[in-house]
Amino acid sequence: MNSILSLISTSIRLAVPLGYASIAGSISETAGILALGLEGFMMIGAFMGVLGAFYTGNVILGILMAAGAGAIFALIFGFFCIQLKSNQVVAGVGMNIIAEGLVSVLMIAIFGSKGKSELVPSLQKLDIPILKNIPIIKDIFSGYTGLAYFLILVMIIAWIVIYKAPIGIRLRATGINSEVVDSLGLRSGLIKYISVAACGAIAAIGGTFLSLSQLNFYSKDMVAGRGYIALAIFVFAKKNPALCVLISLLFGFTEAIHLRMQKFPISSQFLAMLPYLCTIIVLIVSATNNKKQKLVVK
Amino acid sequence: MSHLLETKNLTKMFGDFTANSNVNFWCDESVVTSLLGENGAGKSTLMKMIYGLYRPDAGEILFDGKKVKFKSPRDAISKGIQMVHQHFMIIDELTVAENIVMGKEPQRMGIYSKTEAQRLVNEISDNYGFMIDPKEKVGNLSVGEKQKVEIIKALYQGAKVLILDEPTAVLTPQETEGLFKVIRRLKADDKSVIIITHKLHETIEIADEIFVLRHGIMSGFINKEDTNVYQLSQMMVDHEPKEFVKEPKAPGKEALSVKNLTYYDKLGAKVLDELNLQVRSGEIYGMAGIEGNGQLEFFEILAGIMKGWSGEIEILNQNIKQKSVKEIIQMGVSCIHSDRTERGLLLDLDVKMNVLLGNQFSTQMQSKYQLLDYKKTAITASEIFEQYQVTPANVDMPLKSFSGGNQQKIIIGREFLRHPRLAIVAHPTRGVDIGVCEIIRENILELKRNGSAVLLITADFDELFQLSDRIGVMFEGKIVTEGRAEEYTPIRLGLYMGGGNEDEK
Amino acid sequence: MKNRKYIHQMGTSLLSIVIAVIIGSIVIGLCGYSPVLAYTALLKGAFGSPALLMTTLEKSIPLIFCGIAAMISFKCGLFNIGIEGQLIMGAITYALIGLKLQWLPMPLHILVCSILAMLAGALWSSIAAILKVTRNANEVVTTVMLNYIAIYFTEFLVAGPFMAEGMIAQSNALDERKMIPFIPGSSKLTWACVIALVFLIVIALFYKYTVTGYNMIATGINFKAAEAGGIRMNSTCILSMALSGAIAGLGGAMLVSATYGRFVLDMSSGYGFDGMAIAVLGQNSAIGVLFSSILFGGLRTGSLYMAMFEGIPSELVSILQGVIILVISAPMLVRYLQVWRKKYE
Repeated sequence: MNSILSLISTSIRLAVPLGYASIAGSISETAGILALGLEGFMMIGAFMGVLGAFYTGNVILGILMAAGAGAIFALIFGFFCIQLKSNQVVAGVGMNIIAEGLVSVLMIAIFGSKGKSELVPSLQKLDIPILKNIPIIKDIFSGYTGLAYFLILVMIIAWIVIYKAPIGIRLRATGINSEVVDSLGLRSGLIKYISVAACGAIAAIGGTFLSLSQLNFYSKDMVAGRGYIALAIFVFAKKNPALCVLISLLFGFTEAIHLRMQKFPISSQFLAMLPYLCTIIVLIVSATNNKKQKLVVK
Repeated sequence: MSHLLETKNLTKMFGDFTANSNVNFWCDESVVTSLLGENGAGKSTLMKMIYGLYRPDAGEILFDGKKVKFKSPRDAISKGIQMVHQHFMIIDELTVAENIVMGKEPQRMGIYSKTEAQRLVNEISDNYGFMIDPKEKVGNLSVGEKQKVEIIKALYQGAKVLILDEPTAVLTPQETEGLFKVIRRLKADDKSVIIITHKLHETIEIADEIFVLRHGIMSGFINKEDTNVYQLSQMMVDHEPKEFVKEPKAPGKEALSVKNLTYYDKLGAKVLDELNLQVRSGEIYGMAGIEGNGQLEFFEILAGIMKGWSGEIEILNQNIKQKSVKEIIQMGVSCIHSDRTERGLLLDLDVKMNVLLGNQFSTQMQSKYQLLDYKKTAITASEIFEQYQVTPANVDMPLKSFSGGNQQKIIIGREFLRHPRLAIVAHPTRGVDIGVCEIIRENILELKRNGSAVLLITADFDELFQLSDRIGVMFEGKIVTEGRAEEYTPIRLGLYMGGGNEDEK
Repeated sequence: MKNRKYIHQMGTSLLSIVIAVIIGSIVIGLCGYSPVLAYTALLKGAFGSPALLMTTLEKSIPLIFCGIAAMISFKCGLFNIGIEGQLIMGAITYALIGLKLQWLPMPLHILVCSILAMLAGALWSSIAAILKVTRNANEVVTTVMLNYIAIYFTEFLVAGPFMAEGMIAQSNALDERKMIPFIPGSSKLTWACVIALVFLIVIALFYKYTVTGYNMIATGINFKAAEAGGIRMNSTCILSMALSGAIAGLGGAMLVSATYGRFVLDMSSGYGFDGMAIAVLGQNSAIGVLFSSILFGGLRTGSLYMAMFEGIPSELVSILQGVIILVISAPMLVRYLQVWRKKYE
């Protein structure tokens, strides 16, 4: 019983960064900007969070710095896509390469190491007041760090903004046909910029969950393709933030199994493949109606 | 007394080309103003300047007597100038209410209030007698209903001036009457209505004041009472329109035979309903109908692009059900798609590469070992330039540098120079000026003279009657009436296009 | 007229490099290093001596293959981000089957193993292609996923059943006499460079003169028009991706056969991603790929030199590459700059 509970809680923990990234991607894609840079945003977030915590000694400030850095980085991407009409896939890949290079260089410049940064203060686990005393519930719902609970808030806010707020109509319209939005005298460009910045910030916070919440340092290859996995998640979830979180749980589960089964004789590499295979399967299953509809929206 | 909206000596140039030159125009409350002119005369340029999409190079715009500078549509909209575009500016995936209130959404405590939005929409809608359900997704509406949504939107967003761009292009004669009733109502509500059009009869019927544009210059202003169709036509064009002689030709064998064609789209809707049609060699069959009644799907099925239909289609006595697009082309079929940019052009490539499209596997364009021969392609391209008077005659220029009319000529040249035995042509002269129109229509007639069969799908009644030997009307996926061209009038066609028939009295 | 187009294209690429260098120097400076030192070291390390030049050219070879692979997919409008994985699959195939076939005489050995490596790469990319065509699965995501799967799969092979003697996870070495020899007079550059050039020329001719090549170009420019022009979408896309994967696999084969002699983990070190930057910078033309590959090869050699002698981390070059991709992805940037320049004339 205990191992099932710990499997569930591990799944939840592993799902959190994917949840952030997929919600971030949903927002950006709803506005019509391809979220290919999620991988880079998460990397920037994970690293900048550590950097911030290192310099200020305060982990919350580190997370805020990460969000800011993610937003700025995303805005540069947005500038190229919106103002300069870049090909979004190419620009996205470019941003990811820049992010990886930038982080590597800064790691050497500041921490003097390619692999692992110095240790920094990290988040504390929170014990939710009433829940922590109920036997099974406490293992599933209590004891995570603040960022995990914050994800729920982000999900709710994102959901309200996209579906219930007045600007949600404009946001969705921008992604489908920004010309129509402009013809009403609204600024579709501004909407896109804000969405992209939000995407960068939220994805960056997701990155900090990896470096400041589960651990307390940054290491190379920490993000390991999660940004790309998140793409499959929000496609499958049809850009609905609530579904994003749900499907992230599924992926968290596959990763949890990987960690668990390392004791068994199945080769570890095949288990490592699980999340990536899962992504492909998800894409196969969520085939859209629109023939030849790519992720790129002009 | 100053006009509500006025332009003085407005000029706009694109490079060397003068689109508008010293144009004086105005409109007033409770007046219906028509801006009349042929395609390419400069009407849309003028309106885009009034709407804030273009900045004038010279001249000024006055609103309520005061000079204004519009830097973007936002400025124009803030003054109450609203435009109903020819290609509707609406989002199919959103509801009617959402489309209409976007930008001025009613809210309660930060949350969008669906019920309030619906109430506001209904208020306007009922006022004008529109039967539109605000909760419906716009994508499910008919073309006429979508136009009503656009009008409601303009009113909700605070229109004092409503600019309607070619509003009757997509309507039947009966629906046009309905639109005119709405326009008279708008007039009674003190709105200023500007209609951009090239249709003389409609202008005479609905407009109070008429401005005529010709080659970018205001060739005249006149009140409705003081003029007639003939005079307006003289003001619009400076040469006699070409008379097309339709030679009666004894049609030959069946080139296209469609029997019981049925097609369901991805959502399960029946788009083509046991369609029957025959076109014979040496004959032009003109198909009339409102867009959205299955013409596009019919076209793409004949071209070999869409599959999954049931029934029988024989082209030149060959069953095409299993045939690919390439095989159909090789059988001697040419298609001019209605969306020429999307379906016909490789804009970033040069003329030679575009001429190859559809021709690349014919030995005409190949040298030894089935390799492409660009010399042969260049020769064909030069032939097209000559026969269709394309300028500039440069085979190495990318297609995007050519004007729209020239692009259309190149596509048609490319398709017709194959000497097809069956040509399927959709809206060949949409949006091109009168000179190009004549060349294109002449070439279609030439095809017929040489014995080809031509299926012509068009919304232009002039074109339909000028070219067709037989006419049929497509409504909801079926041919609802068919016969010799002489048997029909626009009114009679309009009746069938709208789904009526003559048995109903 | 045609010459004007080439000059215009080359100008765009050069301009992108210049902008990247400028932006790069800002970033380098922000990281605390001297841009002047960095760039001089890069140039010296890339082209400073005949030996270094040879190393640069040798490093350009897998880049040429990856550049061609990326170019093929881009020209058809597809984004093959999985070149890295396809290269690895080609490499492992060459390394393992090569061991089994060492009884073949040298030229035949290289030929057969290369073909098999190309097949492996083609198969790997075709998975993504088929998924795209049948299930509309976005090829960017699928190819990236396949990258990771390829990395883990090959790791499994050389850490497990095919592991060589000793502690390092790698395959057994091929007999040196079966590897591609060095060109006379050099201890760095192999005949693989000739193979790369041959393929460049073949691909350029393919696009110019064959119907299939034309079909792919048309599909990449406007697939709806291509469809109306009789081109079969599905088979064209799959063929294009397969070809792209095949060339990537060949690149992997060359890595094994000319450089390493065996399969080593991390042997690719980003050649696949560089390939994309190369294709983009070279504006999807064979000549462009050639020059861009040499440039990127130079960046690789130069960056090692820079790290060794100036202590500037070699990863800086990644940033430069990313900026190049970013800058060249923006057609408007060049246009804005041209307009801006005209204002001052």
